[in-house]
Amino acid sequence: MKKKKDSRWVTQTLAALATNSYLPGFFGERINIYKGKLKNACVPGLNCYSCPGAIGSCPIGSLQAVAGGRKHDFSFYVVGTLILFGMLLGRAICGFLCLFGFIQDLLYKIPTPKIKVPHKVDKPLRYAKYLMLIVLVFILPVVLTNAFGLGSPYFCKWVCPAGTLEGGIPLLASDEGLRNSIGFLFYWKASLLALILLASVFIHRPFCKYFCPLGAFYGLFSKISLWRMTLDKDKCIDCGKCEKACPMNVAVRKDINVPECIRCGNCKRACPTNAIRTQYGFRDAKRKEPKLQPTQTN
Amino acid sequence: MVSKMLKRLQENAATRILILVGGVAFILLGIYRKEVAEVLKKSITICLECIGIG
Repeated sequence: MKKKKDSRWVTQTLAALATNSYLPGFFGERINIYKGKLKNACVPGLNCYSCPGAIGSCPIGSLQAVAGGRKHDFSFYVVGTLILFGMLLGRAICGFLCLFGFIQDLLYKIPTPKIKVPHKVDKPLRYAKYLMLIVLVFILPVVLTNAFGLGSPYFCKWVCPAGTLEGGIPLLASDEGLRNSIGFLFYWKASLLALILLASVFIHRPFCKYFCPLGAFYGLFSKISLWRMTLDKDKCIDCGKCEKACPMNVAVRKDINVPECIRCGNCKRACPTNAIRTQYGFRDAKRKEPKLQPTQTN
Repeated sequence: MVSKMLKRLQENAATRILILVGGVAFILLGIYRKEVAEVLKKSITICLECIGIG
């Protein structure tokens, strides 16, 4: 059987270019960031708004910015946007539209021996991303404030490798003033980034699997989002090829629409009987009943 | 029984529509509360925390 090609990289490239299309940010007299009104809106993926090319706002950064401000403790605007994205696309955003996910995918393509994280470590570590979301994104910016009542964006400040890579490195490389301000925080964040990028060569998407708060949020919509996967159990021959092909280690035959599924479609391509399909819509696909042939009577 | 009910709810088109409408309502409420200005204010200045300086 002819192997079906994975053309996801085309969408990933286009999405990365579209969300970082402010070219003067990179090629202007001095590297700077876009300051226009498009930044009123959040992009679906994890894309630092301090990236010189970014034309939209990072949803995780925006959540913390509003919560850490003096006026509001919770951002209905950003959470509503994330609900909308989650319902329309779910974690397909991670698989198709997130720049940092794409970078990890590219690094994993480097031909080296790959590591499968043991189940005992993998399973508990997957909950870390929910902790990141609840503690660092929602709670700490509201609770841990300074004398002026302002909270820091704790996830961006202490963890986010996308900010260091997309914003930190280009801005620091071009601005001596910023470079002179480098201290412990930058070295900490740069080490974290290096660790995650290195791990991405051997483990598939370690940041998405274990630490991404945005993936944790979208994962909540896996079963109900309009973009879902379906497994036709009548066609399934239990060969297990889907599970071997799944880079996110989903037990496809047990439950296909789990929060970890990023809709990459590897299972669908690996299935020899076409039992796995992508479905988009409000209603779940009804199983087709075989048509009964009218019996001929003479 | 609870998991069966939950599964039926998840498969229900009305649940999906309701959550979508809820999302839109949240966005409108956020706009009414002027949260958009806060998002813009943060995103058009270099975020020193994000880049590892502040």
